[in-house]
Amino acid sequence: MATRAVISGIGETDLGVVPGKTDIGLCIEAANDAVSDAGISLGDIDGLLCMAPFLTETPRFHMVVGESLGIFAKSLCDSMSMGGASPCAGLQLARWAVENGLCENVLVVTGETLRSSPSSNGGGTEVMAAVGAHNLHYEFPYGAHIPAFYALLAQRYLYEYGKDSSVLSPVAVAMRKHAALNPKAQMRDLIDLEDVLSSPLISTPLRRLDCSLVSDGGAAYVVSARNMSKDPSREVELLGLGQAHSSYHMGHLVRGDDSHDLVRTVCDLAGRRAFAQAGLRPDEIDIAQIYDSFTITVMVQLEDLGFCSRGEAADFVADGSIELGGGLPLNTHGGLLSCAHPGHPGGMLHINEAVRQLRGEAGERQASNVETALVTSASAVASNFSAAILGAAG
Amino acid sequence: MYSWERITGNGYVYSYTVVYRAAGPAFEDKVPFTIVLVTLDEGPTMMANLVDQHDDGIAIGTSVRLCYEDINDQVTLPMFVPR
Repeated sequence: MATRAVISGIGETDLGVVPGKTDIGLCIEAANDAVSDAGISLGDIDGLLCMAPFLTETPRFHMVVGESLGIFAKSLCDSMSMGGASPCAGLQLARWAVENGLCENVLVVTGETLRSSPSSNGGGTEVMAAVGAHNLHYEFPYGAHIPAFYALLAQRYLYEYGKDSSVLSPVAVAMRKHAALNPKAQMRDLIDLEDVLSSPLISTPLRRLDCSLVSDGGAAYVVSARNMSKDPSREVELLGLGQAHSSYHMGHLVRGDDSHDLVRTVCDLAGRRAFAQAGLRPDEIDIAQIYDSFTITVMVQLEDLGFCSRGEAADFVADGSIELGGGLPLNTHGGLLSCAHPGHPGGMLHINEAVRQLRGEAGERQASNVETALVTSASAVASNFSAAILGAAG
Repeated sequence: MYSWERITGNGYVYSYTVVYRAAGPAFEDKVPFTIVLVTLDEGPTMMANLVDQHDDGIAIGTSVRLCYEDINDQVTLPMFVPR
């Protein structure tokens, strides 16, 4: 029988404000945690995929991580450069390596000190500009930063569907509710809709509580050939994987193609590929882990992925569907909005939480009967997406 | 295939945002200011600022025309004003 790849282990460091660590140090911690979770040793790792930190441009980051872990010879070693869309895309690359006999255990790891690094200057909007300035010649001179890019998307979305910015708030409230159940989350005090709408304006229509956090942290997962881990009943199946990419500059997204524009992203294509491979429909997904860089990011993806119709995300999130106990519990760890957003590791956390839920190991925030989970990773403002449908060991 | 074409500089606001938190010290004395995505009459959409406009008067669909603003001795940026 052909080799089948599974997620065999997940790992994380402390998240949030984690001073005194380096990017590499966080990678080592997360890697050790993931390898130990799989019940294998670092010597079993023969493939290494990293995501180089946004703030410190370390050349050959993956080579440095490998040597820091003491993994000498590898048959795959590279850094992914899709930004926030890398984590789910890493599952695809790792699966390809495992199922083609290139590797037995691929470690995917990343760590960043976006919050506490001396170069982050307190982790404010300056970081958001530095890591998100799409183009230094055509966009940054106008004062654009990541919240502004997503604000342009949000404004257009609200205009097209005749809504006001209050429709975004339930996403922030739900993420905080979940984070309150997560001891590792950076922000755990409950908030209500009024708190979101009275938080300071960052870039209209987005307010502070519509925006994700700026954090430190490291995260890792291991993709292995099935039955390589110590306890195969904890292995998680890769049921369907997909990715889709459009154009970089926002202006180029406006005309898109026949079926895409600024608020109708190619996330639908990434999702469609994952659903087709898994042989599943959106209503057969038990929990979702959707990349939530901003509240609006979740709204457009819910529509793109077919969890609700165009323009109906407002109703979908308003009735508690996305909260634990609802029809589609979303980001049960608290997401980028309330758990942590340390850059690349932020998107890894969505995968790790899906794995915990599928194993039934999510503790106080465990959703009931989780057999399938959909995860997305996104980057570059509505233009790069990867999606993964994961299944409990079967 | 794309080709170079002379444009009129006229267009409309496809989307906009009023920025209250600056992207670093260079923009701190400018907030609040407006970033727009303008769809030109000829088709393409570009990012720019709307000059001296940061109140509720801005709306998607507003007609604008191109102007040039000197940022300093070396930098001049294309921007837009309501038409």
